[in-house]
Amino acid sequence: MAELVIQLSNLSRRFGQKTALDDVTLSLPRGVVYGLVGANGAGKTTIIRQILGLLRAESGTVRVFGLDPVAEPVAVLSRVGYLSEENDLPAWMSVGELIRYTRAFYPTWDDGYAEELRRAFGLDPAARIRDLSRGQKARAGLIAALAHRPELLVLDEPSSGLDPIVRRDILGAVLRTIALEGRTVFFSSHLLDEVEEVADHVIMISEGRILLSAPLAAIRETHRVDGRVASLEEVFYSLVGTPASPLPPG
Amino acid sequence: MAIAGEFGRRHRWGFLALGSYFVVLALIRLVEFATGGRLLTDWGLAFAFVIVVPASVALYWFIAAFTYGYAGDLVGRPSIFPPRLFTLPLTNTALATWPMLCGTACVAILWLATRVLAPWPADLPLTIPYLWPGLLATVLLAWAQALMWTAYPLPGVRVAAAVLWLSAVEVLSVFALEYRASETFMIAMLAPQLPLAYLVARRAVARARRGDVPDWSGRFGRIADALARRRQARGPFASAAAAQVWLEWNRYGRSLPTLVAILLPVELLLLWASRDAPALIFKVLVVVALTPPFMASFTAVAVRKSGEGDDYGVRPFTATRPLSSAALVWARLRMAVWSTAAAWVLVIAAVPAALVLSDTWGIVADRAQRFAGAVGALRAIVFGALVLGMLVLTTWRQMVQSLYLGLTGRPGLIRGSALAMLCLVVVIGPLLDWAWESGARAWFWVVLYWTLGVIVAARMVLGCWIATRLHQGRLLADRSLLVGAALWLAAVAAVYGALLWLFSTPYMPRFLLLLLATVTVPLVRLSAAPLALAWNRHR
Repeated sequence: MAELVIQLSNLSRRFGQKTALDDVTLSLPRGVVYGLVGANGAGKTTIIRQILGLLRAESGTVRVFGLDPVAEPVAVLSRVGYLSEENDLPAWMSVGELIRYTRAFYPTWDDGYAEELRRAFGLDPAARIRDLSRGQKARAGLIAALAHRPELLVLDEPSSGLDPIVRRDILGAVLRTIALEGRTVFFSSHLLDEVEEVADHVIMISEGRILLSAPLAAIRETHRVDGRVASLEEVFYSLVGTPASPLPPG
Repeated sequence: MAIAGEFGRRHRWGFLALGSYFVVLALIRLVEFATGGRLLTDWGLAFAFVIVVPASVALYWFIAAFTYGYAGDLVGRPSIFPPRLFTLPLTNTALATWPMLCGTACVAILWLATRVLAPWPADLPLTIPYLWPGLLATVLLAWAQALMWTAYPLPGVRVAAAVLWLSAVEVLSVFALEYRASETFMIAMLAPQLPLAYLVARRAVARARRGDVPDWSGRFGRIADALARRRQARGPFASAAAAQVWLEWNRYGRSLPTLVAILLPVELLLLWASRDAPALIFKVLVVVALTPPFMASFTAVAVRKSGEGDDYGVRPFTATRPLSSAALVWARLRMAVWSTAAAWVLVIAAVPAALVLSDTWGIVADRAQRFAGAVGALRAIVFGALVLGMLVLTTWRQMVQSLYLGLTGRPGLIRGSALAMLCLVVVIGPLLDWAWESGARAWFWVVLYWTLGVIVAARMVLGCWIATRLHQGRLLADRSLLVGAALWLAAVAAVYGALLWLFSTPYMPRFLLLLLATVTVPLVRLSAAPLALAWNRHR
């Protein structure tokens, strides 16, 4: 069996009266693109924050590369690339400064790859983060997350609120990353078509509970509607009873 | 009304504390009225701690709250008026007016309640006015709002403009009082400033709403290009720790030297006005020497935070750095060292230059020579170095000593501890004053020794507990803990040795010097900072 990159065992977490995670158990081997799907407030970001060690496990255990991310943050985080949903890069930095600053933390930083990404994303190294559009900020954050070629890339709603061009850029970068042998991607989204396009393995979550965790191929094999392959949207709807993202008006 | 309600909700605990304070003052007045006695008899320590400190803190709090200064980027060019309010269906006039009205009402009530309820000393040398002090406070608030909401063409100009303009308003009022201006004159001088400040504030809000931010960076194009080229040309950081110190410096490090650089010329200009009054020269020098530690206490409000704006939590960008919490704190401590050093380099360079240029160097040199003649040259040099060292250390301590609270990211704990400290000051001040004045001076010293002893014992116990937690939480390696402990002991020994040599008198017990040396060198609060950050970072 492949080495487990992420292992959550009976993980539960509450925020006041609200149960954010309820007895979550996941064992995720290396070298796969995992798509975490759920409606807003389902617990996607909480799982990601547990994986990064930003939350302590109230009950159960979290292991990343076999290590507790709270007890050993340096050992875990130095092997992880992370793009935050909040995109909280320091506004005063320039793109060049962000790259220079971030590279200091990762011995595996690849200058050539960082420059290649910067050119591909069309970012001026002298441009201040505060002057970038939301999409450009996401691209800058992606350079910082990818250029050290992390063993585990964690993306929290990477394409939330972004235009299709930026979304294509992000997906392209993810695809290039997973093409590198042995790397793992764990990304959350409520856009099921995006997950369907990229993920090898889909995890569906609702109200803090894992409803389904299976390879995409197996899901397509086992879920059929009127004899045809069901879309992820239909699978999600059949399990949860509501769509993953709010329906457009009208 | 919704805007007023928002202020009320956001600052409800502060308003509750202030209300409770005034209830206590009212009860004291009732007791005084019933007994016919007076709690305060002179303008002493008790008056300062019971009235001046709480009223000043409340005024600063109102200025921070009603300018939206808690959440804004004070150094940036854009207005700090919250952009979220621009989408409300309100006119620019309403957006500017309501916060100003609320602030004015709160400040006016603060002064009137203080004027009416405070137990003013019986032997006042003057009649406490009803109107103009409150009017001065509202004018300061109104100008602060106008200056904070204005967009500036260059970064950092807001802080400079606010410090200079508000100081000018205050100094003008102090000068007017020096010349025994009447209340009518003071009102006539201050009242017209309110509509002026309002007009500036309203225009600032209107410009901010349409995104109008002047930009002069193009006028300094060559300089900006050269700086950008220099930044780009810089090589990689030597280590992750060096990169983090650079980040901290850019975030917080420049504030203190900038503030000192703004205030220093204004203060030193007074030397030219005091050439014929040697006593005033030394007062100016004392004010200059206290400027870095005083301004450090303001910059500490930003330095101690783990988040930005209203957010107290660690931002994911920082929390996901592959650095231990101890290393993140260490970077901030090192930034504070550089910031303190930069501020003091400015002071040390500017003061002799100003003394020479203002032709007051001779007076200061003469006093220094007389002091050296009285105590010995070596002792005078060591004393001067110790005083300078203590001032520098105090500046640094002011910046970092509340990290252990701010880095917890728990707003309730941070605000609660500030309130508790204020309450302690309000209680302890009168107690000390009473103990000193009531003839119980022998007891005063005994209580002081025991208090210091208890504080030192508590620090030792807490220090051991924190070291154990740092070790158990793997936040610090064994070697770092041992080196830290050894350095702390060496610093205490050095301070004790210096005190022993300076105060070799039978009137000063040696154990008191040892207790003072132990209290002086930071231990508990600094070593608790990594624990606080870890508690915040891994919630």
